[in-house]
Amino acid sequence: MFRNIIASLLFFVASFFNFGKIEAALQRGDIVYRTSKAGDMYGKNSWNPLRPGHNGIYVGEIKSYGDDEHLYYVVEALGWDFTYEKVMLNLLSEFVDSSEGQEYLGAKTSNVTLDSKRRDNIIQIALDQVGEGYDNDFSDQKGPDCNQWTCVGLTEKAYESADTPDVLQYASCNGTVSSDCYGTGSTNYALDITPDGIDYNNIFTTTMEMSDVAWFKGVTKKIFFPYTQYLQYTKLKNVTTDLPVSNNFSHALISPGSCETEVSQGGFFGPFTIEESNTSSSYYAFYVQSYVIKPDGTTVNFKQVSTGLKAGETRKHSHYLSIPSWSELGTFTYGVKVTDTKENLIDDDSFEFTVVSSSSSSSINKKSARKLKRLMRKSDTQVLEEGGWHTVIVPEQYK
Amino acid sequence: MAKNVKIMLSIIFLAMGIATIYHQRLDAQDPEIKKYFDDLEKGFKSEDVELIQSAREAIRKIGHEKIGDMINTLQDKSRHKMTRVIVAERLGDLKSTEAIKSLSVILEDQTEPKDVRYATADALGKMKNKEALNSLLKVFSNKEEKERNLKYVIAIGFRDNNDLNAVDALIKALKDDDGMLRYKAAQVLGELKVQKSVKTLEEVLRNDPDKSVRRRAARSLEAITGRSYTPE
Repeated sequence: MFRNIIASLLFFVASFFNFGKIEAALQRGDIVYRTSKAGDMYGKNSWNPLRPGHNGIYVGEIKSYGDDEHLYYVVEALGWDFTYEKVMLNLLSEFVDSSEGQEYLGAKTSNVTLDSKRRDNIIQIALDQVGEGYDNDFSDQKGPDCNQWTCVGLTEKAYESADTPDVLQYASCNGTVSSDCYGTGSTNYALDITPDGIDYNNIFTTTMEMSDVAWFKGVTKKIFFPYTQYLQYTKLKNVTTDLPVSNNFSHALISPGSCETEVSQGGFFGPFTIEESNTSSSYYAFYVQSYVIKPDGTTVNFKQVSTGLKAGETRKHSHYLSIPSWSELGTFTYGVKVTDTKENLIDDDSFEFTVVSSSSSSSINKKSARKLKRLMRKSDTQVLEEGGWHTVIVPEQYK
Repeated sequence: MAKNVKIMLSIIFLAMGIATIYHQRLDAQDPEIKKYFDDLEKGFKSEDVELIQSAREAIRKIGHEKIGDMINTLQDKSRHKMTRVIVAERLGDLKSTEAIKSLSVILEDQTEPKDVRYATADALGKMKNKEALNSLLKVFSNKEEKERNLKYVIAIGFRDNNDLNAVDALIKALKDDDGMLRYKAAQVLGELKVQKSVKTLEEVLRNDPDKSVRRRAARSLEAITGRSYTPE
């Protein structure tokens, strides 16, 4: 009886953690943030208003006919730092251009749990604005009409109007030009993620939307910076980013052919190749972690390895996986997870393999086993061990 | 016979003269105008906001008589992309039909910077001219167009310019492979309240694979018919 209760409890805990893995942490309607080029972001580490930083609304998939792969998108108002762009629908994987030195800050969502209706409404507001113009003179910033959007203004308005997507909510006018966006506040906001108002004579405000920025010919502009919204810790909470946000770094696990994915207890299989490429103009540091998911759903996580690639560098390395002789039989998953230095997921590639009884297998290749042993003896081969499982990483070949 | 030859030659010389004058006009480099463009260029390269703003203000005041200078600058690929963007904006504001051909060439050229193409799309939209519309429709309907956002920008332009000549292309786009283009087409048809799109929008409402597109179709149908629709 007691054993059954413990088993049920363990099953519940395992299911809970397993569910947590499958569920994407980043959800439609969440807000993603990045710096401008060279890692600069106004209010964070720069006082150059031409390096404002940036944010956008993650909208998930937009299904196209004939698309087999899953493509995830972000809606972002672009146009501030010397570009003529619009409110655009772009791939989330291209949100950060690390070749420009842009850095990803992370994702956030409302502290108040967003139900699916509000998420749908936020998406609707974002998608409706795609193709609209950027507010180049910063007269409005939060819409609600065409050519009146900045990046942070759009995210703010989408949350404020999450209950009324057909009638965008804005604060009452106080008689000045386009004061909708920084007026006295509206009682109709669904989610007010940054308090309305101007912090006069403060070039960067952390408490309300508009900073007072010296701009041109002694004129000041009231500007809503993305980092102000990012700092609203009582209104927004962090979300783990579990989808790629930059296409300047690529990582690919090339699985062995389908006929080679059967391995016996005590055997090994491989090599399977990992290719990594950094097309940006700066060094890229990242973590790599291999894992094995057993047939019962439990996971063997190997030690996380810290590594990096120089600008423009591509490398390949080969992995072998050694199976414990006492391993259970069945279908396993081998995967490699890559995260950046802020633990945002960059890539997670995996493939399945089957462990069969050692007596029934004819796949053990003694010649290959000797070769693997030789490789393991080399000083620059890395062997990771976890619970009887071994991953062998043979020396990298740089291009 | 000799008289006819004389007339023919006169016509040819006249045409050549007009062409030369027109060409000289296009090639004219007004030093003052050139300075504005050079200042703008300098401003963008050095990230000097004051220089950009003052040059931009000056360019916004350039009149129709300097159209040749502006077309030359627009076509000059060695110029900073934002200089060309600002020139395209000005040509659009002036509704200069002389610039339609140059603007169309850039709009349709997929090797041009996307910023310049967006600006030419906006400028052509403002022209309210058949030739300009044809160029916009060509890009909007081009299956090989890689800059998808440009199509969405053009769709919104059709709405802003109340361009009912684009209705057929928009209805066709409701069945496009690109989910976001279907969304934009449904949105613009709804906002323009196009009665003849109701049947196709109802098909989208029933069959589109994307939930956001179905929701958008329902809202557009409500806007057109005044009836209530629920997405499947």
